[in-house]
Amino acid sequence: MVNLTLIIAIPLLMSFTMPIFKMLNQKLPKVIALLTTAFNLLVLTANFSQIMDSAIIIELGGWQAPLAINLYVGPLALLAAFLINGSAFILSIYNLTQDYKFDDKFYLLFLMITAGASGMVMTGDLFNLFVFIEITSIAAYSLTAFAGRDSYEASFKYLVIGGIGSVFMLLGIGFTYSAVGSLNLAEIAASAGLINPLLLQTIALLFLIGVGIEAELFPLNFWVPDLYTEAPTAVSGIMSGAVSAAGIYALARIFFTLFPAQSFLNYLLYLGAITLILGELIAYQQKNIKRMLAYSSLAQMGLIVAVISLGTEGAVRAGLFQLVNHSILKILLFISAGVLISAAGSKNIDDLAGLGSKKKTAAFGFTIAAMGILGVPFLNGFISKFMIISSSLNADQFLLTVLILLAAVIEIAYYLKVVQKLYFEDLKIEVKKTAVITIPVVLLTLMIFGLGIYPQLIADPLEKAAAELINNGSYIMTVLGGM
Amino acid sequence: MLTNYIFIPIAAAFIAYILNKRNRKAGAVITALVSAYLLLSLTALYGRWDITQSFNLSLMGYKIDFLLAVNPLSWLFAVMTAAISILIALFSINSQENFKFSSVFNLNFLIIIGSMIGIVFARDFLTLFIFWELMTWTSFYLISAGKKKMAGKAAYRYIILSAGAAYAFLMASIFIFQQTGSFAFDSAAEFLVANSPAQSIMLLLVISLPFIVKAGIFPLHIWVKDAHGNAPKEFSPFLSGMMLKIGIYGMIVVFYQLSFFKIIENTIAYRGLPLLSYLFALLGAVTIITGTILAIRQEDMKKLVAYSSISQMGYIIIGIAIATPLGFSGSMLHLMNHLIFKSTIFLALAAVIYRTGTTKMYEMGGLIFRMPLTFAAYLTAIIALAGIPPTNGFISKWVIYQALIEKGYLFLAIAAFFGSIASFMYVFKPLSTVFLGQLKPQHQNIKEVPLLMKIPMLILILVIVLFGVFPGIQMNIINQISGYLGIETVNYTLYSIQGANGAWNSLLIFNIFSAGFIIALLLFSFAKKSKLVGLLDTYSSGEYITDAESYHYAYQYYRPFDRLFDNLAAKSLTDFYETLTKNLVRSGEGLRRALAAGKLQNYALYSVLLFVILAAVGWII
Repeated sequence: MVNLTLIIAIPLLMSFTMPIFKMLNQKLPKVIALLTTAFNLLVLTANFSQIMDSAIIIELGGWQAPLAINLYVGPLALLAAFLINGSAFILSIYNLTQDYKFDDKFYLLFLMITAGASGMVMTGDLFNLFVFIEITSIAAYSLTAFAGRDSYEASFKYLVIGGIGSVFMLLGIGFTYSAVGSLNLAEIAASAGLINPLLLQTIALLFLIGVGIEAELFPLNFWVPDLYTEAPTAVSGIMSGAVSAAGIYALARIFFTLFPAQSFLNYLLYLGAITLILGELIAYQQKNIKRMLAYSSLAQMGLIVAVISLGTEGAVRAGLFQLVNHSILKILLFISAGVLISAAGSKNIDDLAGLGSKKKTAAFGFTIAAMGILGVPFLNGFISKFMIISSSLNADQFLLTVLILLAAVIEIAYYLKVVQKLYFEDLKIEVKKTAVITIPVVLLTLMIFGLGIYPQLIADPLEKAAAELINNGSYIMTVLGGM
Repeated sequence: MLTNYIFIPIAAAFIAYILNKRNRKAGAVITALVSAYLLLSLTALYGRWDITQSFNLSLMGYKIDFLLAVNPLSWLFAVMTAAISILIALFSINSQENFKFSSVFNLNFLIIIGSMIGIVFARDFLTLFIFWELMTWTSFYLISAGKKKMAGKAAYRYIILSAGAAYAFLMASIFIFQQTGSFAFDSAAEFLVANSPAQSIMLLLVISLPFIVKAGIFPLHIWVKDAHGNAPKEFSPFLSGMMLKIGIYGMIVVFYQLSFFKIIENTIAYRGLPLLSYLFALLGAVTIITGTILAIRQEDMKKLVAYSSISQMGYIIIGIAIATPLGFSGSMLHLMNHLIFKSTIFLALAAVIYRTGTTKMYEMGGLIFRMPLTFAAYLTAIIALAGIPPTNGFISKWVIYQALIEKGYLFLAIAAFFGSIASFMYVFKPLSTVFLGQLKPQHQNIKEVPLLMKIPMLILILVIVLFGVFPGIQMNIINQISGYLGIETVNYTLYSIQGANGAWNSLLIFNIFSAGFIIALLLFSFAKKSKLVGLLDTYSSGEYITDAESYHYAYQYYRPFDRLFDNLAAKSLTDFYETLTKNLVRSGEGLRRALAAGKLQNYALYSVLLFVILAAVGWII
């Protein structure tokens, strides 16, 4: 089978040779980015059936685990990797129509962020995880700043907060290494019971903050609104579709595989619930459409974390499905919003009035994605919402369920405001020419309807991924036992 | 096989959308054809109450059965939906010529028809929910497409109330699903009866929330006025006629098929009726009174009819809530009759709006001279609404009165009578202000509506009188429904109904009315010919009045009556809900200002704070 390391290696290679490509041909960087992400998807597909059978472990450099850094790609990592590379692919198609200043640097960073996020989900070593988080974050800091003055501020905020997060993570890694003597995830998982409980608490909190920043948890997520609002559309898309997914993956690895404990899951539950309700309430009165989408994104992340932290297999499955749907829907939302904004020349929702008649594809994309998020039957959001409510009630979490429904009603309020403005009000401003985004919209809409009408397509991977996450014993066995 | 009735309209919706983009009339034609097909095939389904269809799905680890079945109640609702849709479709072939959103209208309208049939054929919560949501969303888009500026806001309020209630419904039904392993109504009913009454009652109340919203029952009726007033004029009859009724359908399912009445049998009773039932009846009574009083105050004819519809729903709820055979039959009769005469009123008003271009009644007048058929339709319909023989409206009202009197519910009976009398006030107002009085100069040249719009009105007039003379036709299906739900049946023949203290013989009354009518006609034709006078040649105390408007008494028609209720009407329930949302918005703003103000130092501090707080929590616990 095709070696999975290529998923990280090829994008990195391509990204560093980007300046050469730019010299050869102005348009080459865009095309290279598209081809690379397509290649990644192909590699993942080639390995699909094998991973479904049993996780693939690649030991880098020929050393054995637990000495070496190894890659562990099970169903969960496969799912996350598909999300990351799929988002990158669709956004690359979108990028074909966009022009960025210094675009060789843009695509360099774009491929780096893809490689970094893929690395995050495929790695089996703690410090390697940290390295990939850093690669992803630094690429993200820089990518954000490609859109002018306000984006510099957003980038700087993310940089500082991300830097603090790195400090916390390093501390956590340091303590773990000194307590366990190894950085291999499986080894740490196996020895977690031997760590002094007080030290374990501290380590867990350090990681919670370090990774929580990537996973957009309250109160560590205030960099999100600024970034999603000011960054270029493709960057907002990749952040909300791929990087946040990778962040949640990392969070789940740490709190399910490494240090599973009910108290930590409770912290996640409460933080997730607060993020959800806070995000929705603040999103409701936003006048800037990208900021509204940003807070909505935050809130969804909170929801996913809260649901996953319920701990039961059904809950994890529901949370993972919601994550998949969220990526698809949010990318569609951001792409459509991007076109609408360039058509209107303004990010203000009031200025978007009446664009439904002129920018049909974008408005249609926005509407379908909004209905998906709101859980209209026959779209993918409905199934995941159903699963979430079901698992939440199963876990006797009435308050959480009511909170989720309240959040859903608030979501209806602010999304439908925009949809109505698009279609049923009169045009206020002059419409500018914008990019053609038919292909991404069509692809994403097909996915939305497909998953909505026939979710069995993804049921098997989800089931296996959930089972893998809950059962850390099998993780340890696969990495250490068979070797 | 049952899914045909649901998915053919939905598939046709997309075809209609595409075709309508070429030709503005195509969409309405397709709607008419599909509705006709539905009506014909549904009539073939009559009596076959044993047909079921089910799908089993193993979804994401959940085993779910989707159940569809036909029963008398569902059949009646499906037929009513199809019937009204044909009439509306015929009417809209012409009236949507210049409508910008006619493609969207037909797309959504056909999906609504399909999903309504899905709702009434559903025998499990999930199927019901899926089609309910489909119907809510498409009607949201339909209402938004109205021409008035308020249409968007009205639709917005509508969907927030509806969707909020629907989510609560989903929560309750998933809870039941987990306790019983199935979404089916039958197993849910068993579970609810065996469960603790308090919890079952809570669950059923939550389940009935979306139905209460849809039926426009106080205090969740605030969306109705604006939605009716601002929706496209062809959709208003459907809103009033069927969408409010589907809420009533849901309530019947909750009361009878989910055993609400059985569960509360042993709770506190008031005059032999469980208190909760009486509360619903009371809500119905309040709805009647509120709807009627507010209707009398309206200047806009569509809002007037909206409030009138709410008050009629109140009648229907009273009849169902008191749980007697007569009450139920009266409600079902009123359900059908209301559909018929309300649609007639709407079509007549839509015809007037189509020709004059305004909905304000004081801007019209004297239209009887130009649109006599429309006038006749409207007159017949308001006679039915007021409940005067020999129309069908009288019969349903009479049966409901009989039911209330039989049990001695004084307050409810007073509310019902008040509603009936006062309803004549508000239906007379459009008659007088729109059709009678002086014809305005700008309307001198308008004509009667085209043939395709005349046909529905004619059909409805005939049906009103037919059902008024032969109530047996309706009682046939109603008794089947009663039998199916386990209620005692009412005695009837083709032209009479047995009430609590006597029988109503409509054929006899019709003959007497006809005799009187013929005598009056003869007297009129043998009397001296009347002299035609100019419209503006009326008594004006010697003053010269040149403005035609001043001759026409139309503005604030019932001012003396309205003055009685000015204080009460000022306290608006809508404002209450508005304040609620405004506070919600402000809380979001406050939170944002407190937490997300943009200061990077604060954000950095949060990380450390979180660590400290959680560490402390972990230390303590």
